[in-house]
Amino acid sequence: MSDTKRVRRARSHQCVYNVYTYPCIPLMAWVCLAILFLSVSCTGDAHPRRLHPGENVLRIAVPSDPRSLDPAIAYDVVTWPLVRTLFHGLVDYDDELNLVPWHARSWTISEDGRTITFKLRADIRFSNGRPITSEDFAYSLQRILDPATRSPGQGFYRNIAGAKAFQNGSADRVSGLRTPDQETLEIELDHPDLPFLYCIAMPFAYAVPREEVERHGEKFGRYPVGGGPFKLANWQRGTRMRLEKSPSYYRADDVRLEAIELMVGGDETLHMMMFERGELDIASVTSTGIPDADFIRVMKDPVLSQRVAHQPLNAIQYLSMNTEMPPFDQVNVRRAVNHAIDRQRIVSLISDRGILARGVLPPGMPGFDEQLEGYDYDPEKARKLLAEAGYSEGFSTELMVTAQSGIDTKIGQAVQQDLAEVGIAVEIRPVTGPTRIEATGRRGTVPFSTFGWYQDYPDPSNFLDVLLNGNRITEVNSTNVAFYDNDRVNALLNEASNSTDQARRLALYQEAERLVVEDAPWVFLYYPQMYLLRQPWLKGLKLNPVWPIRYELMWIEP
Amino acid sequence: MLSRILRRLGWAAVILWGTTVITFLIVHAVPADPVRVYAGANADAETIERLRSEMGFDDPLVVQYGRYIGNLLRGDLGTSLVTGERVLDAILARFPVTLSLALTAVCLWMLMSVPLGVLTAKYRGRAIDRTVLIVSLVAISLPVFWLARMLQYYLAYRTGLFPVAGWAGWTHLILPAATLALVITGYYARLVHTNMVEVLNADYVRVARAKGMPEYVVLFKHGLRNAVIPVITILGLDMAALMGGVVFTENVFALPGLGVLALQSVFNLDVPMIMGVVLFSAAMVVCANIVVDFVYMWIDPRVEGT
Repeated sequence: MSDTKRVRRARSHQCVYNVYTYPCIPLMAWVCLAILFLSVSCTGDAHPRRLHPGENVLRIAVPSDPRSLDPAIAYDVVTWPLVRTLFHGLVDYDDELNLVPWHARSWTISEDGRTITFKLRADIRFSNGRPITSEDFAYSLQRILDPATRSPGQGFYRNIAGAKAFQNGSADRVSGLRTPDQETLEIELDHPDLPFLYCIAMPFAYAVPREEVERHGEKFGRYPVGGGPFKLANWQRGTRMRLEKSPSYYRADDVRLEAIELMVGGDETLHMMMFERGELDIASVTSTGIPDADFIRVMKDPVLSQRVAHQPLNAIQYLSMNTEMPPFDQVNVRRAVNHAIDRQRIVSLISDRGILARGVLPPGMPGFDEQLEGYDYDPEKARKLLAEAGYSEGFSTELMVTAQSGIDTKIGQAVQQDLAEVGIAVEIRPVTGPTRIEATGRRGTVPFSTFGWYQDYPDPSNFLDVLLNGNRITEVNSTNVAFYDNDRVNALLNEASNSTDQARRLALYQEAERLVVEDAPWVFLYYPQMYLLRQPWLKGLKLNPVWPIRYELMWIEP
Repeated sequence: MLSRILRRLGWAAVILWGTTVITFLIVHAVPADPVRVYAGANADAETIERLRSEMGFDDPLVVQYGRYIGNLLRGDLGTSLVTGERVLDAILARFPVTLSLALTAVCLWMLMSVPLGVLTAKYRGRAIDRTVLIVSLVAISLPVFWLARMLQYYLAYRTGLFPVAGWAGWTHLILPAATLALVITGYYARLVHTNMVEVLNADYVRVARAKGMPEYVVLFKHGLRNAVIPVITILGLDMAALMGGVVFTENVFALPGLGVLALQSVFNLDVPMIMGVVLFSAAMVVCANIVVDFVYMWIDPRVEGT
């Protein structure tokens, strides 16, 4: 560089001012910005206006694309209500959680409880015009079990006779699925299984047309064809989806919506803003319903609070203690932790959107035990129990929580504070959802973790058997994440599984639950409730513990 | 020249291959199981093992990587574990959104920063220079996601001037592009300013002035033309970086672009999709580098020797 150039460079550098020369100016700039924003904010109003008057179209938003609209693949609370609008199943629930006829006119169970015979309606068609027969249901069930389908629901149907042979490739069809005629479907089971009817009510078992599945192959979930009240009109991935009323639906006159428009993308805060601008008809269709940050404002708002509907969910939020790992292998330590945690405070941290849990089963579940007392908040008792277990000095442990979940963070911090009171030092370890599921299912890995469980179907087995039966313990991918193994409980649960007498089953489950509560493998926190915020013009929002959202019943007031 | 081009392309291939190795290793080192994510929390152990072998995740890593590279060489980036979509299709479907966001942002910030840079160079040290400097300092230090939320809250939600979010036309691009532009304008204004100051002191500018040319001709014809060459080089590289750097903006405004695709596939542990998006972004950066290099050589032949 020449000398003159160097001098010029130096000169130009002299003219660079920075924050240190004028420290007050950035501050002033911030103040100006703030005033500008405030003045703008005072001019606007945020009361929802109707943006599309006269259109009978439901507008909702979901955070991300449904993975698939194939009933064999879809398995989440946001996609299931959509699958339900596109397909048709054999049995459904009424508002008291009884199974009622749907595509099946009636069904009978044989004396030994191993054979279920469905009599089907003959007047229902797929949206491609072909009548739905018993063979379609048999094909759909076999398809779930076919390894090539990769259905996450295959475990629910492995009790069908011949399912295992079919899965292992030693049989080319499932022998337990029989269709004597077009209106009769017989399902033979390996062993009696009352909750199996609930599995038949799950969307996995909805009928799919073989010709369309074979035509689209793996892309069937992108081009679904079913017998439901709606059909897919347009799906632009990552952007929007449109479902339109199917004219060939057998009860088309009962369906009042013309279409359902889904916006894909954005988080719940964004959806709330769009709702308040009138762009959406329901604030959020995820299980949160109303974003945390807005909940108190909405409930205090005299107008908005009138449009809130709520429904206790058949779900539980709990902390799992790994009963194989010290110090949680000692029952007194687990009881002490239960007594040391102020669950009432945790529920108020989530704005009272939960019911205090006293045991495993939520109040909406058959077999819910009102007599259960659970554990009250008693730090004094907790200290005593810890001393009895030989931990009068306390101990330290690690609580695994899901990093993206605001609720998990709140629970984690409250637990940390409460346990510090009795001398237990808790370190919070936030990880992503997938990491938490992987680590907690691995034996001897995670001592203490937050957990939530949402029912697959309203039967106590879906909680007690799946989460707490010692026979379910596996080295990896265990669903019994407390690795709780009590012989007496296992025996009760197994007996209940094989019983065909519902009253007897419920009594057995209650007995097992009492033993579980005594052994305290979990800290029973609360049963979550769903809150839905709707526009005044949206009608027909009938909440139900199994199906909180049923789009096909909704309509837009003209 | 030809050997130089071939050498550059060879290195580009090596860089992209390295990218696949590193991404593959990182994705598989994550202590989480893609099969578990696919199957959902309620699935039992037997279901998971069946799915694992069906999806090919029980093969040794080397085999899985070999399969991936084999498919890649045939132009197949794989299919998404989550949606079953072909990865290349998914990327190409989202790329136009990201590209139009990036181009709109570039237009906005160049339209703002070039006049500001010229003005501040012309009136160096005066009030306008200082004000622009300070405002740009503030703007550069604003976090993008915060600015995006603020613009969205006040200009869309409170006043309804713009749509809150989503993708249904060019009006949906304004706020996201403005967010990016506001943050970057200050930096480019300084860049133009610095180059302009240097150029304005050059002999040919003095000659132009001495000949009595009008000041705007001096500034824009002689000054800006020369000052903007290095700026365009940097712009080329920034465009490529922007392809991957719009993650925040796209997510806040729910634009269906590459940024949203990347984030969602990370949350879903969608291995082929993560690999595809990373590889595509890397390819963009590598291409931009090569293009910029050659453009530079073409503009300034002295570069070839170095």
